[in-house]
Amino acid sequence: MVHEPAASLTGLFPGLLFHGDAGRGLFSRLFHGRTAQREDCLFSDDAALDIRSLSFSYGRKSILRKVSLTVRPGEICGLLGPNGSGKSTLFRCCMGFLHPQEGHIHVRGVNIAHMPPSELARHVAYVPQEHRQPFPFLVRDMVLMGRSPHMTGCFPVKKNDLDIATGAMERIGISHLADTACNQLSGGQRQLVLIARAMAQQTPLILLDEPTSALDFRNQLAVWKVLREVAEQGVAVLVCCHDPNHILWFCDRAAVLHQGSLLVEGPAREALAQDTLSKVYGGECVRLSTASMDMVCPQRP
Amino acid sequence: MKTFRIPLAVLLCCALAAAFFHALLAGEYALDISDALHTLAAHLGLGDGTVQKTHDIILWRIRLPRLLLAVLTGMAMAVSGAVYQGCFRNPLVEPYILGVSAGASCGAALAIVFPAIFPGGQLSAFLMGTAAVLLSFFLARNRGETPPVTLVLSGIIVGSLFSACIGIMKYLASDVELREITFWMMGGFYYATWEDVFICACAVLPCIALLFALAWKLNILSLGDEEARSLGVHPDRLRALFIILATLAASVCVSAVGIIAWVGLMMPHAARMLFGPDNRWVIPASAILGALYLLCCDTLARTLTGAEIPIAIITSIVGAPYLLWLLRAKGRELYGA
Repeated sequence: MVHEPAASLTGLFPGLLFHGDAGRGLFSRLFHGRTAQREDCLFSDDAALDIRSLSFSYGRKSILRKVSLTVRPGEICGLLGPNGSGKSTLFRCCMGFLHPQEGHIHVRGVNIAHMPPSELARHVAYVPQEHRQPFPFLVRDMVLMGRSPHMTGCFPVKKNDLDIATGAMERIGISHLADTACNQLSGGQRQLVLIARAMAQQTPLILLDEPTSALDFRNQLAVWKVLREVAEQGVAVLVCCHDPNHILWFCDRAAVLHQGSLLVEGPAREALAQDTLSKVYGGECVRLSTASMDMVCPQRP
Repeated sequence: MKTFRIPLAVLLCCALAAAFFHALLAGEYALDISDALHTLAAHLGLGDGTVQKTHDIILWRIRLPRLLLAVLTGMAMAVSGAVYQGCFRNPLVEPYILGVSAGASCGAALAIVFPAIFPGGQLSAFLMGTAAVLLSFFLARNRGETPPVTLVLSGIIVGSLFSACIGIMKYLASDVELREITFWMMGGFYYATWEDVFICACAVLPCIALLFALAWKLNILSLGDEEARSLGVHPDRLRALFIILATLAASVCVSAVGIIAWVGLMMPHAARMLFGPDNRWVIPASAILGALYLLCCDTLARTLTGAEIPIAIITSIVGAPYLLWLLRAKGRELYGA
């Protein structure tokens, strides 16, 4: 267990009492049912991802300022942010590529700062946006690579890993593609393969970097459907996404990054209110709501 | 593809054994099987001990070390080519293109001219080979990316730099040393001795075994640094390990037989065509194919005409058009957009 520095004790929320090592097991189980429903409980112990007042800067150029964000098991959080809002930097901090100057990132209560990649990969899975590979691995092998954080030693592929990878392909519904080479797949299928790989990694948290940006509408829907199923299995999913409609339609919660700080965070329909959209997109769009559906449309002249 | 892999591997092993026996018998002084088996049995302490002197010299002192050295060199070059291709994510590289061969020969030349400063030809070949591959890599690296063609170009630059160093060595060398350098630079397996075979085997076989054991990690490394990291490996450290092992195998062979180009490019590609891109198959398959290819080339080199053709000529005649074909047919994938 990584030691909790005293610096994080600044914001004394009640939930913090349960955050220490001692209280974790019993209290979190006792309070799980109640705390999961409470929106105001920022530091809940059962959060799959808990980012607290994260700040990052390249030299003197500040990229992220005091960003706090919580994602709970079984929910999809959509991260909306225009280009240059610090979204990728936030992702890179969560994956341990960058080390924030301030703040902490906890995955299921474990501080991931300065974790070696081998350990971090058992906590966070990452689905990259682009996937151009010089070597056309088979889908079967690509999904199996998700097991590598759990493998040890020489000749590390064991029967158990093969079974888990097969299971992941079945759950995502790509078993029929198992013996296809990755470069012969469509963009949507490739994205599903990478999601299956992240599933095989068996982490409590999956990060996706614009999973639908290069896909046609049908494939976009297919990917979101799979993501909902993944979330239902108790995985926390953080998706960065450029389409506010997708976040309204498919995400439980939304977080909006604007110029390096978190503008708003909350249930998707509430977070993407008209004033948030106006701030982020400069009054170019309008939020329409009907009884069954919410939508963000361009402003008519 | 999957179901054919094991029979195919067995077939290749049989082909290698057959080629080895053929090479053992063929040559200017052709032997027949009974003579060959007789001589081998005598050396392994099985026969009655009466062996014709000529047969003994030809088979045991000349041909066998030569063939074994060709097999080891083919294995080392092909496997290190496969490993470089995987860890630089670049299907165009091999020890020769990355400048490893030039670096290693420069190291060996240094050891000949300045034996006091650079003791041990193999060691200084290895050090200079490693220096060459690292130099190529860091010259080509730009903002965390290594574009395939840039890496090839920087390898050529580094290679020519080390070739120039060899030129300086030749210039500085005394007559005797110059003879030694030139002799050895010509490459080929004519003067293979059992000592060469032992040194190469001690370096090459453990390296290949270790690389084979780590092949799965090479798959992950070949996905690129960020993905490799998110799958739990430390890309820089792992790449360093792979480079050291591959360079050790390649440069020890270069210091024994001189520069042999293209094997490390062609054989991994052939292995991928036969077995798919999974390095757990590509590495052993490259080893077998590399051994088979170099053995055949060497047999051709010494049986095609009465005199012996330098093997580098044969490998280059086959290899250069192959690279051309690769660039024309798969250029778009390889240039990386």
